[in-house]
This record gives sequence, C-alpha cells and structure tokens, in this order.
Amino acid sequence: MVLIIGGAFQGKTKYVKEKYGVKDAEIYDAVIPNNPDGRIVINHLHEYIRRSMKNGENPEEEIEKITEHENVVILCDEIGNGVVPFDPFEREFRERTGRILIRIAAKAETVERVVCGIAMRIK
Amino acid sequence: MIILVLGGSGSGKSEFAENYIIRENKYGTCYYLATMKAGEDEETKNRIERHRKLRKDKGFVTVEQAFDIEKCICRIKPETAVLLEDLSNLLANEMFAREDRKAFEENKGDFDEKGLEGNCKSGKEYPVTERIEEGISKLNNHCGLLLIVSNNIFEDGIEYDDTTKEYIRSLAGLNKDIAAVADEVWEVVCGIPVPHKGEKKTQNETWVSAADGNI
Repeated sequence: MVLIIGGAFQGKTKYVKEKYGVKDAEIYDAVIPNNPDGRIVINHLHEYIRRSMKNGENPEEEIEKITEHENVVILCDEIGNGVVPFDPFEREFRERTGRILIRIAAKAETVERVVCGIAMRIK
Repeated sequence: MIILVLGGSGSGKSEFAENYIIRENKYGTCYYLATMKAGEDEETKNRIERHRKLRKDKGFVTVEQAFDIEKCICRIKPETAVLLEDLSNLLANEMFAREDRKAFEENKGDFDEKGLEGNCKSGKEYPVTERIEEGISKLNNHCGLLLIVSNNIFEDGIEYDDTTKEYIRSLAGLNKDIAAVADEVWEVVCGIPVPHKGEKKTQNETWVSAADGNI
C-alpha cells in the first residue's frame, strides 16, 4: 500500500499519475469501491471520511477493509495543520482523519508527502 | 537539552513524544508535565482521559501546571526528564484563561510599574511569549532533558480575528525560538517522525505506536 499525504492542491494527483502510472479511469474519487479488482486508487480520502461521518456511518470500518487489499494507493489531504475549529463536528473530523491516516501509514510500505509538487518519501 | 516535537491535530505527535522521551531518558524519573486545564466539558475530559490511557504503564510521574510553567520546578527532581504536553495549551491558558492576565488587559496602565507579576513590561507587544520562554528556560536549566510538544496550526489559510491572529503569531514565535535553541526538532506526519534538526534519521518502525490496533 502507498499513502500520499499533503496539503490541498499540492500536486498529489499529478504526482501519482507520473510516479505510479495511474490512469484517470482507475481513480475512485472520495469513494471506497465495493468489489474492486486490480489496483485500487482512492483520491481525496478526507472527503470520503467527512461524508461518511455526516451520514452517521463508520468510515474506519470501510477503510480498514479496503486496506486489506494488496495493491492500494490512497491520496489524502493534510487537514490537521490549522487552528482547532470552533465547530465540534470539524474538530472530530480532523481528529478521526488523523487517526485513520496514522493507521494507514503504519500498514503502508510507502508514505510520501507532497509539498509544492515535490514528493518526499517519509516511509 | 531541549527536544521539540511538532505535529498537527491527530498526527500522533504525543505518542511519538512519549515513546521517544522514554527511550532517550538517561535521567531516571520521567515527568509528564500536563498543561491542559482540567475542564468540565465532556470533550476536554475525554481528551485528558485519552492521553492518560496513552501514557498508562509508561511510568510517567504526572505534574499539572496550566500557568507559570516554572512554578512546577519545586515538584520536579533536578536532572530528570520532562515531557511538556503541550505548548499550545500553555499559551492558550496564559493568554485567555488567567484572571490576572484579564486584569492586566483591562487595566494596562496600572501595571506599568511592575507589570504582570513583575515580568510584563508594557510597551512590549507580546509579553506572554517572553514569560513562557523565561519559564521554559528555567525549567530546562533544572532538568536533564526537556521534550516540548507543540502544534502546527499555521497551514489552514483562514483569516482569523485579531485575538486568534495574536495567538497564532505567538505560538509560531515560541516554536521558532525554541527550535533555534533545541538540539532536535521533529515533525510527526501520520505517525511518522520527520527530523528537521539534529543528527537522527527517521525511525518509522520503532515509533508508529500510535497505530496499534485497528483503524
């Protein structure tokens, strides 16, 4: 598994397309596929987590399941580097996204952080 | 010796800091210097409880000090290891929660002579950070190893009100000043420690303890 993390609009998608040869058609945008085969590329994971939380679902469960697959590339925005939000939902969203990313990073063979289009492998 | 550990919300910075200070500690007792003001609301209680659980069985001696950080020195043995968790809470307490600070803000003129507890001089723009830095310096002189956890709150691009801006600027100032004198500076990203200052390389496998169990 590969995790790509970085702020919004830092060039994460472009980077995985170039580095890992990902095609547009392969990308699930903020969606966790049900019965995927082959490589699974999930973009904007934070948007999936937000929607799932809004719907009262359990994003951790679905993400845990998908990370059992061998060939997974996950892209997610870094959303924790700001002032603690006033709104309780926003606070919980940041915390849960952070915890989910820690778990994904622990399971991943590769974690890369993209800043201004430049990737730095941190694992 | 000072080690600074930075990270965003839910980054795993606390878990890294706790494990790291225990590993680096050559000083016997390891103190956990908790700066969070015990609040009445559920969220604060849960937050404190989560941190207690995290450090349970790690052998920390907990010391609580929400203001005037140097006042904890009498409760800490000299030449020991201290984990200050965390700087952003300490700053928030100093800026927004202390009664004498409120009095200071309301009656700035009256404090001109000796300032707030004799430390604040009016005319300085951000006296709170100076107070905190003095306290940290005293604490560092007292203990053998001081590990300070702080937050990265600087990357959301939101335009805040003046008070929040002062808080953000003050925390950034503290982070910069402490980083300048620190022996090591780490940033934790998704549970992975990224070194910014110091000799050590990233040691992922050892430190991703935040990820124990399922998602």
